[in-house]
Amino acid sequence: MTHEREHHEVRQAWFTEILNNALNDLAHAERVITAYASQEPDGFIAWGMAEGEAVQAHQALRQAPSLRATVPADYTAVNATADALFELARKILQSLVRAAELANDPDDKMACLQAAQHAGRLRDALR
Amino acid sequence: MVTFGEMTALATEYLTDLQQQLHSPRLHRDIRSRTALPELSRLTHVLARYHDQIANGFGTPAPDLTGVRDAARRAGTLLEQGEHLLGPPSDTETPASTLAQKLRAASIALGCGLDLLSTHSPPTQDQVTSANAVVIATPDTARALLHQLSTHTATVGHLARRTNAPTNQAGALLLKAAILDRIYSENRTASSIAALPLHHTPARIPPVIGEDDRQALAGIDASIQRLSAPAAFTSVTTWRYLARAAAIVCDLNSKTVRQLIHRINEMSRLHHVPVLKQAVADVQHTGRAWRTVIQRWDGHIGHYGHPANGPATDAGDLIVRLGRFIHADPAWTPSPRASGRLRPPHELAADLTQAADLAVVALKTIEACNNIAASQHAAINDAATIGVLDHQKKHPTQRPRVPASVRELSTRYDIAQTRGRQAILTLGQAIHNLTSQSADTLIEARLIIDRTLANAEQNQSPLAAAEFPRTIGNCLSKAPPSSSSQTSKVPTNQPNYQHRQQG
Repeated sequence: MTHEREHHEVRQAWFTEILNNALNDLAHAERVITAYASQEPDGFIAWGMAEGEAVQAHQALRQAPSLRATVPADYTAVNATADALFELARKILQSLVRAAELANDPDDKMACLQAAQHAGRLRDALR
Repeated sequence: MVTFGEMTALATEYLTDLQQQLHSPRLHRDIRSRTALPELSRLTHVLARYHDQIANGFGTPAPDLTGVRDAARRAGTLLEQGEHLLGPPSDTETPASTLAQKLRAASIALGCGLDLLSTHSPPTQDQVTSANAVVIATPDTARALLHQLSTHTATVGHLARRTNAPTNQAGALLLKAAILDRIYSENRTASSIAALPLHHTPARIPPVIGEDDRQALAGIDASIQRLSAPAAFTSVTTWRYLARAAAIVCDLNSKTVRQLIHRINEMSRLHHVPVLKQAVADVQHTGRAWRTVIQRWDGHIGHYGHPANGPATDAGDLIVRLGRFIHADPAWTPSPRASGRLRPPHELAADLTQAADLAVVALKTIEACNNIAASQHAAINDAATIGVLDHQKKHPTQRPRVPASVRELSTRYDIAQTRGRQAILTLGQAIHNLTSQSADTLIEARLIIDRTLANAEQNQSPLAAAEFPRTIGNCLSKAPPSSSSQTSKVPTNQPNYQHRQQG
């Protein structure tokens, strides 16, 4: 019985996390695309249709009842962008360190590590 | 596709031919033969049908204050009396004499022209009137039609007078009708309804990569006509998509006109530039108005999914074709990955005529957007119903009422339409300056302008007029300052908008 409840809780936590991440990513995507679409004069031609889909995806996901319960009151799209970029910077940092390890050419190692240093600072700046 | 103008021009050729032979002895002999009378009667019947339609405003209920319809009714009665005197109309398959053949040909051409016009008017009152129906029913059109008819009626009258007694009495009646027509007529040689083809909804032509300009234009025309058939709109997803498509179409059009300005600069025809620049500004304005409509729709929660039905596909086709027409990439699509590089100006428009043709494409597609805005009532009803139902769900005890957001949406559609009209008028002015008086392009452009003005007069919402800083009436009575400088240079090319406003 306890085992079953534990399983349910893990599953619920996992679900909530994925849902929240997806919501953040969608909000971020919407923000970026909207910014491009509102660029004069031709932004809307290139990004208009994409903007529509991003807006609809974001809106649709926000209707999930579980999200309504868990989304914090101070949730804004600005936070979503910061979150998404923070996550991106974290991944970049990880990849760059791994790349530096694999590189044979010292100049490659150098470039990777220097970039990694700034990416780390970028992550901190977005925290 | 054959137009009303081409049909009536054909009839005019036959009748002018007869008119010139009125005094020839051969005609004198032929007209007294038994075969000519039934053909004369038949032609008179067609003329009476025209008068009947004009008198009834082609089935459009709008009232007429100018007396033109009344005149048509009186002339029509005279024609019917004449027809009665001339005897039963011909029902033979092959007319016997040359004269009879010519009369038959004129009857067929005129009758077919009238049928072409009638396809634009609704057969029953409860059907939605098309944009063209309003133009056909205007007093201006009636006057132009009466002018043509008066010449034809006079010719038939002179022919009837040369017949034997007692049928020659019909001649006097017909000539009276012709004079009545002439009094109430106005000679507008290039009346815009001449450009009207048969009204029907064409089949979709899916865009393919590598279409030539002619195919692309045919496709654009098909999409526009399909979009203006108002019955097909269905869902909120479609409305949302169409608003977005309209914004993109406006942006593409402003790109097109900007490219035209480059070309006009290359050709050093600098005096055309100010009006075109104003047109770019107006088109951009319209695009922005559409984006506010989009924002309102995006605020409407629910109704997700892809609009799989007709209008969305047609709007998509229109965007793709319009984009490929002006962009260098033959496989252009409206996406961030598409190249924004345009076809060089000289390739888009080699000379002023082609520049005007291109501007007419822009004009047509802006009108298509306006048609979408005009059929907003269905969209607003959808939104209102949803709003009321949602409200009921949350507050089951309160009385249902239309939410403010829906009224706001309606206002925004009206603004988009008003700005679209302004863009059409400015661009129409530019096209007017670019073309010669008799060009087909100009007649097509004038038809669009006439439609816009006629529909503005009929449907102009006081709400939109209050929102918009300048009303249509204002815009028309004061021609844009940039264009007034053109007047002295091209005096014959100025369209007489003011006159139409008063009439």
